[in-house]
Amino acid sequence: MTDATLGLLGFVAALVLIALGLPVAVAMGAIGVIGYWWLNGWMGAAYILGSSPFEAIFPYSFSVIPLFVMMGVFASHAGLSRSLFDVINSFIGHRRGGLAVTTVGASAFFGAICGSSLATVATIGRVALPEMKRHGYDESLSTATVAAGGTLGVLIPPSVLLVIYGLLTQSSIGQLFIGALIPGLLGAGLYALAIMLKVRLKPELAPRAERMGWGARLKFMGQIWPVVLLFALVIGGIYLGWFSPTEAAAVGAVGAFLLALISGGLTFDALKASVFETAGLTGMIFFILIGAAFFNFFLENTGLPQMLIGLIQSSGLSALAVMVLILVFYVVLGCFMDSMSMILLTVPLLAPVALELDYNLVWFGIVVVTVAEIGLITPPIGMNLFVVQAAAGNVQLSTVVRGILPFILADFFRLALLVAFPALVLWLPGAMF
Amino acid sequence: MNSLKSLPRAVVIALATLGVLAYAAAALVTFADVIGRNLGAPIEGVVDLVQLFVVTGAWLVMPFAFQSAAHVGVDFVINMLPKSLAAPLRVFAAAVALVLVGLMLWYGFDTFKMRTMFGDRSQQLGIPIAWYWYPLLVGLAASLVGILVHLFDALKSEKSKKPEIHA
Repeated sequence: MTDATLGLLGFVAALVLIALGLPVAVAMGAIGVIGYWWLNGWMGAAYILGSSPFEAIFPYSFSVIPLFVMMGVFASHAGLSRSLFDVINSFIGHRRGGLAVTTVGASAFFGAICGSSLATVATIGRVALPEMKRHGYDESLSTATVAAGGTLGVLIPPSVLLVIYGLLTQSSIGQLFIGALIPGLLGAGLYALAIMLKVRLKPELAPRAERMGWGARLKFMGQIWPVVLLFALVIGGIYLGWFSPTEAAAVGAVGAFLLALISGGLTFDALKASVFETAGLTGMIFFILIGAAFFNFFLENTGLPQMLIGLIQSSGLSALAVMVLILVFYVVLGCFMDSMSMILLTVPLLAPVALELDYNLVWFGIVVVTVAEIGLITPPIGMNLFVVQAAAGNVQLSTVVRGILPFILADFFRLALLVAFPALVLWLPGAMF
Repeated sequence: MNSLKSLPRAVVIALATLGVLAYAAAALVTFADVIGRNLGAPIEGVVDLVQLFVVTGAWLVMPFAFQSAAHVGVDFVINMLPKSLAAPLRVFAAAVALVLVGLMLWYGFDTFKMRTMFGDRSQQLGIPIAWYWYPLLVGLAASLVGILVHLFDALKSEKSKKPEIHA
């Protein structure tokens, strides 16, 4: 058996262990250690067991992770969801399908600051679903809109997933954030378009809501300016070179904490929940990084990425055809695996392939995260579908799934645009600083 | 008896709280440095301090992630298997996690002794390198407790489900 075959077997074994219910980090770590032991003997395995956990967390650049997680957790307790929904609703809610488009807009903005897709679905769902129900919106449209809207925050910066991708591939986190802006906004725009097209075909799905005057609009705008300012400071600060991503994350975390405090959302219970949420999320992310470090040691030793590159070179396939195959692989994997695990498991294997094919790693990161987003709303384990079902109560999963197709099509269209026009990703980072 | 059962949980929760406080310290130090830098008074050794706080936080919250089952996994296949297989698979998952974390602690301690033998210090503030290792050792040891507590809870919940299945 060649080393590369062993690498392939290790990859399959990790997937089997994950399917058997092992946490992804543990599965990657265990296979990584066993594989490394097989290749280098127990002394080699003992060396990585003793040193990798420390090295995997020690670099200063990793400080950005807990700080952005804290920013998101505090922002979700600052009562932003209602204000964001109200302000967008005051402008477009009276149009047919306007409440659904409002939901997409509020999800994009809230998700961007919060950074968690599931938290966005749960929080925006609590505000948007009763409003849409009150106005007689079709249940399938409203629940699918909330589920799809929740995916937008995964890409729109600051995004923890992009941070992890950046750390794995040693790409600039600042460039990834800036590069994700246009694709993220494009995603929101295409979701809005999907809603409008659907409602144009079946107007009874989304009746008009009442029109609001400028008085109400200005009042609602007054409630959200601190959030807009915080977002602009964090992302604008990175773009203009005022802060490094770690510094921007610290400013964001302190700012979100103060906003939550001032808004009155940070009660003792909310603070306690924030602490546990931060602990759980960061503990999970850091242990995944350790598991991925073991797994990557093993993969690098097997030479599997090099074998894949050789295979692709000898296949005669064009770079575009290979990229399409990679994306199809991600779409299929995304139906069964969560986005973070998928990225950690596959990026060390596929990023060298993308680089060899002359694809820019910032572009590849944005495209991979876009595909990972699709996995959040595709059955059978699209997590957002389950969360919105729980948030809506008394709604069948099939009702949510029935409404999700236009959003999945919008995502595929966006993916095609990003592949056809890489400048959609690379133009802004190129103009940075 | 109850206090014996709740003590490990309390320890893990206390460590998690300390860990998040360490993150908060990292955020505050960085924030103060950003402000101070613009006023001509940057914080000396900010990188060393932030690294120490984040490393401390990361290791101290890890047991909580195990105890509260925050680690991401895929339940899709396991949910399709017969219920009688669920408990053995949970024990298997916990056993693999215990062995992995146990080995990390065992060999981590060896590496800690080796790396601190010569009294190495951080570059900017001269913080002893051992300070960056202590949270790792505490976090890994407490993670073993977190894994066992989670396994105990999961098996208890499986057991309580069984009568309903046969009903």
